[in-house]
Amino acid sequence: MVQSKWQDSVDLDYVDLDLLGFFKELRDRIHAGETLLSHPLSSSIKPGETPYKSVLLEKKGAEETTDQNSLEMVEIAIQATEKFLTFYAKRLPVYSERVHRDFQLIDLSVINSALESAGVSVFEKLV
Amino acid sequence: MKLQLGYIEISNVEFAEKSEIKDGVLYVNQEEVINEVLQDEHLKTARLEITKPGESCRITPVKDVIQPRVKVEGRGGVFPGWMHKVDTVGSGKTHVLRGVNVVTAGKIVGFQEGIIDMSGPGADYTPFSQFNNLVLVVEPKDGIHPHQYEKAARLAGLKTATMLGELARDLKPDETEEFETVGIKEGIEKYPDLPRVGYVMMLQSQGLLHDTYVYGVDAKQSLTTMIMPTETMDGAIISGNCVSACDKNTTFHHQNNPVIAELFKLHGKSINFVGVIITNENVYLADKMRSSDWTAKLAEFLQLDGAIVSQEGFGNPDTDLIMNCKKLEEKGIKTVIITDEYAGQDGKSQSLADADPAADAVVTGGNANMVIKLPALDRIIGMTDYVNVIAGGHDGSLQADGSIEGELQMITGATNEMGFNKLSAR
Repeated sequence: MVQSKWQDSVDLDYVDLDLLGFFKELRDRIHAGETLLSHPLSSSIKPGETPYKSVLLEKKGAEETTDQNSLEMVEIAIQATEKFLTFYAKRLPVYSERVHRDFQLIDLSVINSALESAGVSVFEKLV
Repeated sequence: MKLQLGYIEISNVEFAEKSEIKDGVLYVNQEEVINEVLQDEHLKTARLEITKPGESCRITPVKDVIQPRVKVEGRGGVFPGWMHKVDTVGSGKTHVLRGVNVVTAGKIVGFQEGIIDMSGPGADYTPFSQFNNLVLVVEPKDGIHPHQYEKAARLAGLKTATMLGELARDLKPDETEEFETVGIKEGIEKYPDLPRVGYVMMLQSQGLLHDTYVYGVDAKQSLTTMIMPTETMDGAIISGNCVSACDKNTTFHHQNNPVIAELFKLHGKSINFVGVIITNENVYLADKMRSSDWTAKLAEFLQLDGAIVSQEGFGNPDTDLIMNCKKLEEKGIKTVIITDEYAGQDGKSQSLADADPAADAVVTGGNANMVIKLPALDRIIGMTDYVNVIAGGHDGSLQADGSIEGELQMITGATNEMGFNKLSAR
């Protein structure tokens, strides 16, 4: 949902990974010089529960060093996800299409709030 | 600012032809309430059900819990910005229906959560099992978007609580209590030797189903600011948060904030309770920086010696909590934080998603990952078909016999981070 709403107005990368894989990809990008602008553990939907997660990143020049705050935050997110997955890994429910849509909607609403704070205009509000 | 709360004890709730309060019994004409609620064009059906402490009854999925109140003297009306026009509340007299709550239930999203058991082991974990509950179950019209449904359900609950509160307008309270906050200069003159203590209340503000409103304004759009503690008692802050049942602050929690109640008890004796700072928990990192800077600035300006910080939620808010704590401590303000824990089912993992040596005084509301088993109960208000997909639930949580196995986090109010619960740790 985030992709279809925002792909024309922000530089958007969609990665098809589970949450742990997503945070590890995020860590690689932070090592490569990108900086987090929104919290990776956004929303109170717990890691291991939501199949969708969007974060806001700032790309900097190649000479930039790794942002330690971002790195620390993503490491904590990885630890938290691993903790939650220890119990749920084998027993995660199969979500219905409606539940998938609802998770996407929350993800969209949360990242919208970050984009609004960042001054990126929401050209199409939630209907 | 001075407010008198007059408590009307409600020992029982019954449906009747006429809505009224007589001899401690709240009689409710359900048709009247439902007609009012269904004025909202987004709602298709609404029904009221009564459940009492000790009954074999499970309410789920719970959206909000609201205590009926009515403003009988002073400016404004309860729930300003929603049920009454925006006007500063928190002074004069307010009547409180003590012993009955309005509970709203409805499956706003497919993974909506929140369980209140009125008896059995689950009842021990939620404070709301101890009240008579008038449960309002609302369903949306076809094609209604979840955010419209959330708002309609939120307003339906406030409307019902306001209607019931009105019934107590002319009654004589069974008990009264008075709360007063004085200006900074007067406070210093009155209590020159007492430590100045403030309360920093963090409000959930991340997006749909994660919102809190102050005088009708979405808290994520506000800078950190101050509120008089008595304003919260008149419903100046309401919950729009339906996620994370165990540690969300319902509207009831805001009306009955236990930190504020305790600080008032100690005020003038061992501390000088100076006031309340409200700050948000936005997901945008620059907002976190700005909001926590502002918290520390206001606390310093108020010349606080000590502060108590309560949070709402898990993960993202942990960062705000630690930032607030660190910056207050850096100003020399001794700080205690109230949180809950996600320490894994064995309780051995890291509890919070952030930490700092400055956070050396922590009160916990308990471990939300603890596994519990809830037996089948005779009556269900709402629906349980979603239980496998809620926080703390898993595939197989809902057993064939109607019992539920899952984590404590599925129970409304179980690990409340204002401390309105029974769990903690030493």
